Amino acid sequence: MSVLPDQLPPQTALWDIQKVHHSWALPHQDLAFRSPESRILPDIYQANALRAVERCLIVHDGLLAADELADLQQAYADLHVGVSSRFQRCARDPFMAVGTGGAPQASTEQIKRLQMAKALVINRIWNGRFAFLLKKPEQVNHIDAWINDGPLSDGQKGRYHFTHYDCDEYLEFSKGLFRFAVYAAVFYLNVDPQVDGGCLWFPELGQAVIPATNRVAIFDARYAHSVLPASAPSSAKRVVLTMNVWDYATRNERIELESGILGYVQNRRDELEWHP
Amino acid sequence: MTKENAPTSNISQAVKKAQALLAEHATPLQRQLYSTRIDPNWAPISPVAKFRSLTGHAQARIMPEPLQAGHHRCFNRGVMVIDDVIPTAEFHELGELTQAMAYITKGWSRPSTVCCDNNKYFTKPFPDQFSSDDLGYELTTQLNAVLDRTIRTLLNFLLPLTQPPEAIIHCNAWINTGPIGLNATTGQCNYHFWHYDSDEYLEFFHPEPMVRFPVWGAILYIHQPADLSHYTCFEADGLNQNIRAQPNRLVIFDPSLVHGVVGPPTLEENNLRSILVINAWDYPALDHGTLVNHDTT
Repeated sequence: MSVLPDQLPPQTALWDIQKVHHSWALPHQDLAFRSPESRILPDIYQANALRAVERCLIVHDGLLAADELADLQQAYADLHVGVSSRFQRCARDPFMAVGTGGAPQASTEQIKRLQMAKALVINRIWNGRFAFLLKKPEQVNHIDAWINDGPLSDGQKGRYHFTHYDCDEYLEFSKGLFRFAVYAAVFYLNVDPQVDGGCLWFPELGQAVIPATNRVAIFDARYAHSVLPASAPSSAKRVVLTMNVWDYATRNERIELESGILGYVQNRRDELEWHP
Repeated sequence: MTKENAPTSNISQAVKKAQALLAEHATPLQRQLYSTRIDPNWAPISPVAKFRSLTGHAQARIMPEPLQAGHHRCFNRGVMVIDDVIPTAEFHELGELTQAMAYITKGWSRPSTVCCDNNKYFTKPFPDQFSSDDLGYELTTQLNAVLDRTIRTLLNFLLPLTQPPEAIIHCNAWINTGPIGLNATTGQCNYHFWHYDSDEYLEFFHPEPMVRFPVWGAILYIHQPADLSHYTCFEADGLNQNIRAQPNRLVIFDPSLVHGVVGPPTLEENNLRSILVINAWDYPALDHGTLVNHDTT
């Protein structure tokens, strides 16, 4: 007899999910990569309880002061690599980068400068103006942040960036299960006025966000999203800092590889220990 | 009748009414704002914004930041979209009552105010615009109860965005249904002209027209004809962002952003676009709808 989600014992961790229930919700039809077996984990496994505002999308301009923005733009221009980073904090302290990220051609000082500039964005959002979004801020485990400066290479299904969820990629690719971050955010670090298009598109909302430098879009991470096609001269940049807020220690292999800490373990229970 | 061609007698009546209300209810902040003199160095209003002083006085100016409510917002220069804000059964009831009211009032809005006493909010309709004689006792009673419940729910979204939450001591709320004459304009925003949400006493009736914004503006999309698309547009020189109207979607925004609505007119009597608008205030601002009686015949 199958166990229904609402009958699960309250201390069931993600690791303990042994069976995909076909009654669980299907992912959005626009999703670029999905199998017939893929399912969205039910609410009991999701981060809903940590969102003070569910099903929201915020568009805010002027996140950084002019000098702060220039500093971040310059820090990125000096490195010209995204450097995926993980940010953590103790209690309600500011978020700080954990690990340095990989950029072999860069000096430690350059990387540190970029991490500090990224931390400013993260803290301005999650410790500052939009802290009200977090119902239990002490339960934020970490924030993953990375910079994208162009369309991904291929497989975008006609988009600048294919339709996807911001979710636990280990669960997605190993078990076909979607477990979303608490919130996701895109900070438009530099959008050249010559870039035409490239709106952030939410199919479930029927809503687009127009990109603009120094704009941040924050959203409930359960929403599927993509970036619509953009056209621009090759010199015109569209640089974004993307972030996911997590309530448990998700595995992000890209960060782990760049930080040199990747190592598979036999028992992943500790990594996926999370209790609704 | 529109704001633009309101008879002079109506204006003087509205001013008298406003002065009586102010004498009784004005807060120190409100008295300070209303006694402020225009400074020609203050910013002019956006050239696209439709603005009419009914007193025939000079060009309006935007009050400077120290006199505005920006410091009460967790974030300025932004918009927040939240879906499924009203429980389904309650939302359905709100939609049915709104359509019923619109049928009787020919689309004129029903304003309500929210007063705050000791951090407790009280919603009350403005009886001057529609009495139970217009709407009928049963519909009036139902409307009042449903609007009270709805506005309280929406306040639960607005207050956490406010620093401190108790700064909001008053709201003006109203329902707009269909392409009423006031909204019919030409140009890009063909459904509702470009405008600010502002203190309408200062905007329309003060001898020196000034623009002072509420803490928040908010729109709840109640009914949206399924085959039509409408967008709340924030001007390109401001936020440059459009928000699609969807039933049970709440949009909260910095009201200093010029906005308007694009979309086709909705003309079928039983399928009219309807919205609930709230302006949340740090003083009991007076609303045009509460100062001028509309003729519904």
